[in-house]
Amino acid sequence: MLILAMDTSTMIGGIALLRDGVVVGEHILNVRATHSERLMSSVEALMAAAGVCPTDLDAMACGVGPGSFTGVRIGVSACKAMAYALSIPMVSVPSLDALAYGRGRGACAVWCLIDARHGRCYSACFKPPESLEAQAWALQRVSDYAIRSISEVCALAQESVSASASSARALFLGDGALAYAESLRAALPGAAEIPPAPGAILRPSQVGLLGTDLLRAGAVSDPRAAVPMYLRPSEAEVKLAQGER
Amino acid sequence: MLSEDAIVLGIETSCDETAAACVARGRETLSSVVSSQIEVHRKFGGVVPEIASRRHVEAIIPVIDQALSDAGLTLAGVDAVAVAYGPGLVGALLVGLAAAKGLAFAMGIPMVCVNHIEGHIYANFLAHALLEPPMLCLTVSGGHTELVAMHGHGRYQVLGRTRDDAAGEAFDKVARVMGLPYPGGPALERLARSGDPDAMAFPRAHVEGRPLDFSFSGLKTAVINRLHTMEQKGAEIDAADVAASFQKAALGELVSRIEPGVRATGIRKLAVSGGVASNLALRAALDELAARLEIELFYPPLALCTDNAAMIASAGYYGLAGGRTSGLDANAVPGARLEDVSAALCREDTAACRRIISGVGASGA
Repeated sequence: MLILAMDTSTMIGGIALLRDGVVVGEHILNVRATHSERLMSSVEALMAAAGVCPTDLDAMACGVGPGSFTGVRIGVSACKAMAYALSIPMVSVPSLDALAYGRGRGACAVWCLIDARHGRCYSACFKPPESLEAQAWALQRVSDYAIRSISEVCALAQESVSASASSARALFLGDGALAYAESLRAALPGAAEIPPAPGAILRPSQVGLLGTDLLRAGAVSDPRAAVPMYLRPSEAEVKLAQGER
Repeated sequence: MLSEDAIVLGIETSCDETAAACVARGRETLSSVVSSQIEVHRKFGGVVPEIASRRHVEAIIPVIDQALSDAGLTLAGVDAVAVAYGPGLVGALLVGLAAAKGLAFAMGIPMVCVNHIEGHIYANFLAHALLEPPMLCLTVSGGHTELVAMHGHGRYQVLGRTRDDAAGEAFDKVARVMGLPYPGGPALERLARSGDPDAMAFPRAHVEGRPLDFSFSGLKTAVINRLHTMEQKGAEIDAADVAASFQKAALGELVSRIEPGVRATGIRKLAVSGGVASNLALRAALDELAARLEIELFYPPLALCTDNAAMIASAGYYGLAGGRTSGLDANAVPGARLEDVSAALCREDTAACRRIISGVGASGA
């Protein structure tokens, strides 16, 4: 099963090609150029390098956010169009779940944080398996998906650390973890693990791997109906609701 | 190379309509689907870009699917994809553009980016089988006001454009202040029918150094100020008279640029397009002018005046026929200009023409 995965929810974003759950190739850029300019060019280049053509694809996996509204729409729209044109299944992968995929063994909690600016993050907390021999790499989510201020994240992480063994540590992932590393380390002295950038960011291959698991479990999104995960309404709707209150 | 019989799938998401259409040979509309968001934006009194973009993501594939099935086609029967890349709302444009790229790449067919105003101009080619450039084009909508000399397919010379508000935008804003229902332009036109267009005089704009350019913000402000003054004095406001007087001034502005445009270029055909082209008072004024100047006048049918994708497909067909294609790295350009389409400077941009559009040594312009 050949899968093309993409994620454009943050400035670092890209695509991955997977065959039967094995990563064939991955293309990531951390540049100012927009996803509109780089996404489909990356797809063309990676597929050519891997020697495959669009009709070889069996499924699409799309990171649907949360993240940059505009960014994530570019990936979701392109992914929907490709799945529709090729008549292949598409699976919508929450970007926070993809970020947690395969990470955090030995930590008491994994916080996935995508920077939502102004001291806030799109966030969710995951629980890694206790056994190091566990075969499943998809982590169980133990919080809701929500926009949280970094102080809320710190408070919640402190609770889970203090409820665990004395040597417990929490793992923080995502561009939000990098952006607010100082606050996290200050709130959890010695208990906040923040990997260096390559290990902390969302890899498109994680979207592909989790997407493969989800497809095997029978999860499929209708490309006609697939939508991004925004986690918040537009400013105009917020203002209108405030005015009506 | 595109065959003459080519079928182009057009995609348009530049503002608040999600649209897709199939067009054969650049002229025959096989299908045209428009999913409007008017109801969604009504409670905000105008188009909210973020909400429009969200709606486009939801609607884009169902609309494309409908356009194909209405045309009795599958994607395999489509030879190329044309998509509006600007001008418009960037977040909205990006949805259509990303979808167009996904389709074109998956199907291995060419994609061409079309300027949205160019699309409006091509609405006339869908409606008039024998129409060919050169022609003058007046495109007037809620977002655009341009007077263009089209010298050939893909060869545009902008003679004049608005310096501030688009004509339709001025209609909408005045209507909003008058408390008319959204969208305000058509409501204002209806109200104006029962008013006296000579009840009040409003200032006409003149753009120094660019006599063919338009300006509507001064007029809009004058009308709004007049309304506020009357309100403060407790004077009875005859809304129909205000609407009719404003409309007369705004349309007069539009119509007054045509004659110098004809003189500047020697072109004797005028194709009108855009949402405001459905305004009956504008049509009446242009009919009268065309009869006096003895020029031919063309309008698209009402359904093709407002945003649609058939016009994008038509423009895309002629773009492709002229050798234009766009790469997968194409980006949306919210402020795209028609001049960007004309790769080379129009040969017809003569010194005499430049004098008239720049107002130097021109009499009566």
